[in-house]
Amino acid sequence: MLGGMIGSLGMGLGAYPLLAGEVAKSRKKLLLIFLSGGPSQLETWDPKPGTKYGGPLRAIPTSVKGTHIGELLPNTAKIMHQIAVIRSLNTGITDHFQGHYALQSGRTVPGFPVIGSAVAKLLEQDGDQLPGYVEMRRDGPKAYTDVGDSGFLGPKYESVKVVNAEPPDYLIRPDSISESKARIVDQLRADSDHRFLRGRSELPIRAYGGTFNSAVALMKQRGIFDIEKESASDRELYGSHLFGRHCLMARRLLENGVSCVKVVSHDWDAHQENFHWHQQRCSEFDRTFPALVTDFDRRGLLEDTLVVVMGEMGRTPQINNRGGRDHWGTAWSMAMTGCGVQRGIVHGKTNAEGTEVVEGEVHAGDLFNTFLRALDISPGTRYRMTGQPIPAGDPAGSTIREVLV
Amino acid sequence: MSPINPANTHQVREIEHPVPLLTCHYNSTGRFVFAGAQDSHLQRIDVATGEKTLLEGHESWVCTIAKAPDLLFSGDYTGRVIAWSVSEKEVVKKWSIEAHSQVVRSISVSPDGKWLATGGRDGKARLWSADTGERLREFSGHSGQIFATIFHPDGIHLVSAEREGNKLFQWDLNTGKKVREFDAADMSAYRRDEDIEWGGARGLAFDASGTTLACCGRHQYAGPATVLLYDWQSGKQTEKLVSEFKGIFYTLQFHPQGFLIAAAGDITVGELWFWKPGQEKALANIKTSGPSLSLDLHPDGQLLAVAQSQGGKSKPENGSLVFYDMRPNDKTEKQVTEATAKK
Repeated sequence: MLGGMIGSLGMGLGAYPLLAGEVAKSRKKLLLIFLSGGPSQLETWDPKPGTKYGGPLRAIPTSVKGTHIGELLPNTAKIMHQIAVIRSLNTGITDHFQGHYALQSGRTVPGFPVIGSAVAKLLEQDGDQLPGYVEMRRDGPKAYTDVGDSGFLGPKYESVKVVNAEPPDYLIRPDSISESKARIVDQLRADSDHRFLRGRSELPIRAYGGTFNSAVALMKQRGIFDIEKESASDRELYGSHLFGRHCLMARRLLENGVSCVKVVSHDWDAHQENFHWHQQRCSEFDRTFPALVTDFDRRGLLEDTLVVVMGEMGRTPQINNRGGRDHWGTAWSMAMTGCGVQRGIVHGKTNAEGTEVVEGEVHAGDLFNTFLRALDISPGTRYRMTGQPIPAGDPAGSTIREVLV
Repeated sequence: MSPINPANTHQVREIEHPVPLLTCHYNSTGRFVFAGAQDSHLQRIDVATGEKTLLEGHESWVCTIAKAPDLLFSGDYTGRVIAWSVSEKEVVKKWSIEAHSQVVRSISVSPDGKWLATGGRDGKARLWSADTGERLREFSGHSGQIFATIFHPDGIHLVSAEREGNKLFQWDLNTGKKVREFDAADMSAYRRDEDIEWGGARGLAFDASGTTLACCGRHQYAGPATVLLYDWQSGKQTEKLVSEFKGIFYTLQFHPQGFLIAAAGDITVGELWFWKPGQEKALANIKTSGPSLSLDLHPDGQLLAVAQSQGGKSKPENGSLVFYDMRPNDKTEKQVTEATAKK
């Protein structure tokens, strides 16, 4: 049982009390809302109504004068003054797996940690017991969302997976193992560690022991995954659909000291009936995201939480024969808000038909570096995992100063 | 009309359009075809000359059209429905309403021409006065977008079909209440991997007597395009007509002689299929020059107008209104055009 936890929680979490809300609040945090499959920029952040590829949907005004977004996001339009939109992503990637990896790691070379794992490592504090990185997704076969997490940072910074808004099942001791038996096994393990410590370096062994202690602690704290403990009005606010429940659970985890939560919203890969599809997906997103931003703002969470909304790519301006839009990495959009972010702005610009970036081009590495900066982490910070210092940010990338305060 | 043999169906004319066409409908004489496309206008196209008249009033793609004897109704992606008074000489806007939020997927007209029904993105079906555009009833109960509506020939029942739910609902027009459901699970192409319903119903049609209800769409993930037939009295599915075309039947009509005509499309390709209820084997099927999204039967029952997209590989560059003749292929295009013009 504990082995399963260790695989996910990693080692070295130390035997200290869990962080309480006040302590956690002072630490920067990241909520990554990943729209997996690749949402259409033309139906969301960068509408081009009435143009050759604009599609049938309209643009609507927002709370930021002169800024319009797609009509499928009417609630989001009301909180545009709270968010920054980047309309000039040119990542050049049209493959789901590569896109997932590059947008989350800032690199195309394999082996680097994704932002969740990086944040878990870089924002780690002594005494942390909760996992640094929790990922939420729906049940289903492995898909392109599973691109690996921690890279060279190792299993300690892998994400803990929450599926279908249920806490990891290994947080409950199996009935076949009595509490007393579990205690005896753990004592045996501790005694062995103690013996093994003689004449050896302490750190790895203490880290190993700490993992067990943390696992036990988290088992006692599994209530942090229980959104039924939130008020009925908050559950209503976020919505009863999976995305809404995951977002509410994300708030709960962030408030309790998890450094990064990634919530995956699935099925934006609209190769067919793109407009119908986006009506469905945007409806769910627009139900929850503006409520989340407003709620985070009211609770003061936006002051220290970076909230990022993005997919792994955009969608072609051209509409295919099935009424769909296909994969597109040349000129697309994302949004962000929260700590370090200049709110109510639009960065970058595409041409009239949305086929090219004409101003403020942004690459995946630039985004990654900007996320780090927003979290008060210098992209030049170096990991010293294997003796070879490795910069956390993309050395070839820039920081998008215009979207940072 | 002499008996039609669908196996004779052949293309006789094509009128190009700068963007893909979405829907088409003959006027009551067959002289004009009204069409909606990936632009923001209703088009009136003179079949003989190809001359187009733009009818302004829509602000987005016109995706559904229906007609009453002297009226024509067009619906768009903004949810607007416009009624047009239509004569051979002119087309005049009669009224315009915001019928649904965002998209009107379907318009149908009651047999007596007094009412129209709409179905939309909001999952509602609504009943309107054809004369004034006044809303008379709302039918609630669908969980997904309504893609098709049709009046039963008895004039007191409406059937609606939704994209996700795989059910057809029958409504009582007098009470506004749901009478029963028809199981359309065979139309499903749900993929759990993606949690996406790729199938779903797209079109509905009744035969002239109202004894058979037909529903078209797609069965299974990669096709094939399929038609389901139901016995109206029992509500039971009686037949599943599965084509060999990997794509979707977007629309279908019963010919007055009792056979079905369905138009299909997929990436770069399209087909027309003809079936006689009671016969599993299709009467005929022909390839179309591009994906076929809509069809309408000429009032003479011998010609078909089909709205298509054309060009490009997977991404169409333009559209065309293509005409097919179901009579033996012994006439030139010029003769057909002249004959159509005379009518």
